[in-house]
Amino acid sequence: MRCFAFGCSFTHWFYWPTWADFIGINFDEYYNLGMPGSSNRMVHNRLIEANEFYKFNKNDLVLIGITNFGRLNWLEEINGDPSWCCHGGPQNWPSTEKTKFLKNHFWKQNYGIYDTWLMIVNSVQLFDTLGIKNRFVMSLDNRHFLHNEILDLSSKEISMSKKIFQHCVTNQSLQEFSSIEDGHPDPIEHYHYAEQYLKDLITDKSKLYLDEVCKNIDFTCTGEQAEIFGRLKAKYISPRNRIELPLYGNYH
Amino acid sequence: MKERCFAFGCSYTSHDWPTVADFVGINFNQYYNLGISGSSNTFIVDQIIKANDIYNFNNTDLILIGTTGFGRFSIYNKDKKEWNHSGDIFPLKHYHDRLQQLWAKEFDSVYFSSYRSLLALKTIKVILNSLNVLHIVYGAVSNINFQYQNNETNSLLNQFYDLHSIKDDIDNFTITTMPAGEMLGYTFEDGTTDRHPSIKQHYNYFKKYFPDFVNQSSEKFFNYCEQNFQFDTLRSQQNWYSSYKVQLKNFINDTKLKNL
Repeated sequence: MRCFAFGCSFTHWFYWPTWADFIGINFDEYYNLGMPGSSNRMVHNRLIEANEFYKFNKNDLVLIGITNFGRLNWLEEINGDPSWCCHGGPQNWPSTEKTKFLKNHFWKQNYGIYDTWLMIVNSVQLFDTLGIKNRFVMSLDNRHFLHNEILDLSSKEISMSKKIFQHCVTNQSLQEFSSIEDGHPDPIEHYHYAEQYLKDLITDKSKLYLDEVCKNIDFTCTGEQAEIFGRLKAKYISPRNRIELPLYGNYH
Repeated sequence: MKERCFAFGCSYTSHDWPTVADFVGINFNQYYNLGISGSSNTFIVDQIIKANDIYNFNNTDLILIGTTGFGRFSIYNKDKKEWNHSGDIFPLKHYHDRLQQLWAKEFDSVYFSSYRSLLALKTIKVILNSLNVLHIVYGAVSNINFQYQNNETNSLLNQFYDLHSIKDDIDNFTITTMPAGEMLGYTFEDGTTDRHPSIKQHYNYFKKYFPDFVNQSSEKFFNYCEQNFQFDTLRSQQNWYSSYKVQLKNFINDTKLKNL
């Protein structure tokens, strides 16, 4: 039995396990293909690539953490090598000529809804036709896309947002479980979320993993913590999950 | 014979005169030409996802995909409530407008645009293969410019064309088979030109690569459109072909995909 996880930093985090990890460790093979800063299109593209590489089948479980609808990723060359620019949404983009240009001329939150809707519709269709078990989780809080009190959204855009939410195990986002300033849930919060909304996929092994993480990690985002987490991860998760997808190289 | 045929692509799929896709589509009871001028390959896959959501493709359908130039982008203009599609921006030329110039210089790159096209086509294949829908991917617009970039881009280009049912594109086929002295497209009597492949150039590609669909219907369609071509102005030709398609009951005029 294999488990694949896709999403942003709420699915694949450097310093402690996420909701997906507490589920994934219960499988013979677990591949966490989340990438911090990913947009929903990027999540979808990695799903397409992973399917080509791993040939999903009826015995697999795919977990998807939907990120903020307003995110955009792009490829740029860093020292001659293509590198993904994964800064999330416009509010997190570095202030450069490129991002100024994007904000002024191209990127609209509204388009992000459409983009996310397309990606979710296609992922669901793929899972349905291939008979792949799946769970969608709303990683970031996207409730402001459900009405036009904050953003200027058309009824069609709101309807698309609602459809995206309908595919999730709950409307409640992981972000709402977080007590950390930067919005990332700590491992206990991740675990509680999974325990509450994905209970059938949580086992004693998941709890054991959490206990061991809590004993060893102090929930600060430092290199030292990342190293300790790396060692713990190696104990619970097969190194196979580190296989890179063909089209994805560096990111920053 | 399959019941429905859907065609996706750019102006090489849907134009002011019959295209390769139209010669195939004429053979079906329901033919949806959902090509849009200037479309990027990413826009094409998005259209396919939307169309599938509306029409629920199944194994009695045929889907045609005419792939287009890598150097394109499509963006939704919220104020105008319409999609803006650029033509190819690589290589960048003086006639590209300000936004196209900015996109090419500030945001895009040859590698990134090649990547987007490859991912788009991979997604199309995954969708249609998983649905067990018969589909034919053929090259419409040439991407020969991208061959002279670098090894990474070439690798993406090769992977892209490996996913095609017909690797030869309409551009290349037309240019290499055109008799000496023949031009691409048409020059109208008012002096304007349209350098998209002519009806005959589309028909020649169709005859070579879609032999299963060459029959009396397609031949009759070709002859009728050739004989009635409006050489005075492009506008006259646009009007003539639009009204002729209305008469062809199997050409479905779909408007559901036009808006977001």
